Amino acid sequence: MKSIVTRGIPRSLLALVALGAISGHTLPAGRWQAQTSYGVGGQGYAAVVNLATGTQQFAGAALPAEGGMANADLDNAAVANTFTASTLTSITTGMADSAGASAQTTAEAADVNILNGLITARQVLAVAASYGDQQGAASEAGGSMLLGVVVNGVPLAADDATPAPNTRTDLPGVGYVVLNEQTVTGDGVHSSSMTVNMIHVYVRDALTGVTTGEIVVGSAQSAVAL
Amino acid sequence: MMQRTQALHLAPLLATTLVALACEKPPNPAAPKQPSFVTVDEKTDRITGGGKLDGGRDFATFGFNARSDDRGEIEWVQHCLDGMGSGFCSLGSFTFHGSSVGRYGAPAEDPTHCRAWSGTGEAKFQDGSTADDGFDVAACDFGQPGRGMDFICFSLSGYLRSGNLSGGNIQRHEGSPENFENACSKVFTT
Repeated sequence: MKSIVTRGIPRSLLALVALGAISGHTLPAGRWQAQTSYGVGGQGYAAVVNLATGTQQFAGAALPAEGGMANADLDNAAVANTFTASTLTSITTGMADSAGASAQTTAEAADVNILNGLITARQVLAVAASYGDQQGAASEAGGSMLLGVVVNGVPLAADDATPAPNTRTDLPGVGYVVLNEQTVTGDGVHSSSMTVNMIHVYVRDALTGVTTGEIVVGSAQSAVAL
Repeated sequence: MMQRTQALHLAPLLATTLVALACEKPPNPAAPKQPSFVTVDEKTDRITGGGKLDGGRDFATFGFNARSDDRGEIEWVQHCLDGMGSGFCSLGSFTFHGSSVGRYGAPAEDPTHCRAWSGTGEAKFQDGSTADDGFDVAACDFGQPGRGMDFICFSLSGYLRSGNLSGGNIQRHEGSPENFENACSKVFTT
């Protein structure tokens, strides 16, 4: 299965981080400035449904190559028997200059219903922020939240508490779900990137155990390369 | 047009001042030297940012890009999970998109960290109705990470919300804009 948002950042952002990490060590300053005119990346999806029947992305936004801002809004989204949500929004912003770089993305959805009530959530919000300067580079997911999440009829966190990062719960007959999934990459000196998937359902083949699809709600990605 | 009724909230003022003081630490001389890179025209002052303000069931998410040549945009999403009426939810949940930057500058009170700008855009409410309105913004970059440090204020008619970020980051990019004050400038200068 070809993954869209899973296991880290998309190829474009990976290339960005790799470019910065490698070029920063090997190119003289003049060539660096001439050839490396971009040091930030960001991408957000309010939701992605990637199954054997096809891939659907909702409220997706990607940061322009020169930095700046991109956003997408959607009142409602639905995939029959698979996913419904309302008030879907993604916003990504960022820019690099001579002093440093910063990229940040939010991706959110409300009234989420996955697989006919197998997973529900009142509010989903992913926040990813990456930044770097002469002191180094770092990323974080602070501000991410998951309110009122219920999995297979069981509330996973009391009241408004957000589950701990990378909380995994099995879904019998379906696969498993990872809540508040966080992935950080980069060397922390010249590059850093963050991917946050607040609800990530891995659909598995019952016989082989092979992942055959995925449903992601609240996916925010950010990256900087110095 | 919506009426401007909500009082200024002064709670973030102290926090902002303390944060500003906390940021005045010298750079680490042992930090590795890195090659500089230039990706923007630094004759043009600009500020970018995005993230979240406050938490619980009454919070805002946002993203913006504003620059001194009066280009940029902002998206502000007010969340009211318990409905209208409480806190900043007198207007209920709404999404505002400002697609213009009419004025941009540095507040005289803190030109080093902050930028203020104004513009116009459209608010879309939960019932599907829309309203055109002007907006004021002030945003301050007090260092990295922005969570708990950076500051933003956003004002529409009948709505003003400000405070230190609970997620995300704000980054000011070098330049020397003219001074500019708006309704949000008063939040951290009163």
